Amino acid sequence: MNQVKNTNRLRFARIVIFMLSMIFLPLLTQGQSFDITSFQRQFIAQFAGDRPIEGTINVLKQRSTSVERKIAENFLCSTLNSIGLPSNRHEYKMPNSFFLLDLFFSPMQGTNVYTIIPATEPTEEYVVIGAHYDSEPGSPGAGDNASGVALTLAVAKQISELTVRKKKFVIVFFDQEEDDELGSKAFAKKLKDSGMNIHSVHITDIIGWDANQDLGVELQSISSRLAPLYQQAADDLNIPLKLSQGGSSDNKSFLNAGFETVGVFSDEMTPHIHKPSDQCETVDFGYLASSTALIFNVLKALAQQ
Amino acid sequence: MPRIRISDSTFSLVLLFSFVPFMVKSVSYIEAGSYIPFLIMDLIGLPLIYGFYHGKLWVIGWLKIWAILMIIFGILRLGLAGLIKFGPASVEAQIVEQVNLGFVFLCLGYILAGFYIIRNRKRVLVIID
Repeated sequence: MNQVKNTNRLRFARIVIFMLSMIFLPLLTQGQSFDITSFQRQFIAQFAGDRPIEGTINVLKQRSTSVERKIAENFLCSTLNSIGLPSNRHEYKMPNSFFLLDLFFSPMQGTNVYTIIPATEPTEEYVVIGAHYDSEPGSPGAGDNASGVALTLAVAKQISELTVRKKKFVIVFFDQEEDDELGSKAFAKKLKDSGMNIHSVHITDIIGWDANQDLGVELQSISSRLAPLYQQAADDLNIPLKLSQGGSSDNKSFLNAGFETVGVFSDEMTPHIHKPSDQCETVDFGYLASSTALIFNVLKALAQQ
Repeated sequence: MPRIRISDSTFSLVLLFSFVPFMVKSVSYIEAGSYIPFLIMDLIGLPLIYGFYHGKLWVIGWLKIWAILMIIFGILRLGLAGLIKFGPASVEAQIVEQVNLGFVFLCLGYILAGFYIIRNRKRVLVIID
């Protein structure tokens, strides 16, 4: 009889503990926010060859050859999955930059990696945010453009945690920016052909260098519709903005395809660009976090519109 | 209407070898959105097919043009490979990757096939009708 009573007490105690944990565990973990700088530091260290990619022996000293770009692509997919987002691949073939080369060589091939964060309300309007993941031969590409990829990943994670999203978000990592922006050209064509309703495209590139420590950001070819959003977010974070025209990165592909596009860059050019010295240690993580906050605030405002 | 046949299986194989890579490349470029290689293949291939139904001289002539084009193509590709590997030419990483030993052997294959076709084209063509 006593044994039965003890068993029942044990069961009751277990149920109480379970219920208490269900109530208090979320409260305990609520304060633990996503540590952006730690995430970006770890990501860039692996993506720019500072240390091997976790669980492998691969050290990405550059992301230029097909094999290296494949490793980078797989790492991006697993990173997206690790922050709770599915990963998709967009494989493409493109003619060579000079048509006569088509007669002598095979077409250019590559793979963009992307994910779509659904809206919380019915909508068919999309906001695109992207960064290229390849690097120039001979350069680890920590600034160009592991910084932009790390920024985009952190923003993607934060957007996916928003409780209200009135737009869908396409997060995309382009292949072959260093080869005449082939990846973004192919992706812009895919978006155009699919007839998707694209609100705006936000491209980040080389966003880890801030020698004068002013947190300044350059916005390239920003439209009058997006400018107030960026200005408001910059004012809130005390970030000076520098406006310029044209397209010097993947933003060019989307501008040429007729999309409303903004290119977001560091307002100072890193002296390490396309050099072997473009390593993790040259990235200013405080600046990267500040730029991440700027873009997240803009996209958060867009998500609520 | 006279029809023309190739009486030598080695010659047929060499001719096939000379066409297949270009056909694969044409299809590959159509996937990539460029029709230029396909149009060039049509310009060369269609008169040759036409010739097999319309006259031995026509075929002999077109085979010679095709063979010369292959030799020029092979030499140009070898030259480009040399420029890319050892010269100042700055091209996309993916093009540099294509220039390997297989690429060089294929170029040599085109050149040899071209000379083989020029030398044997008159001997192997037979009118069957």
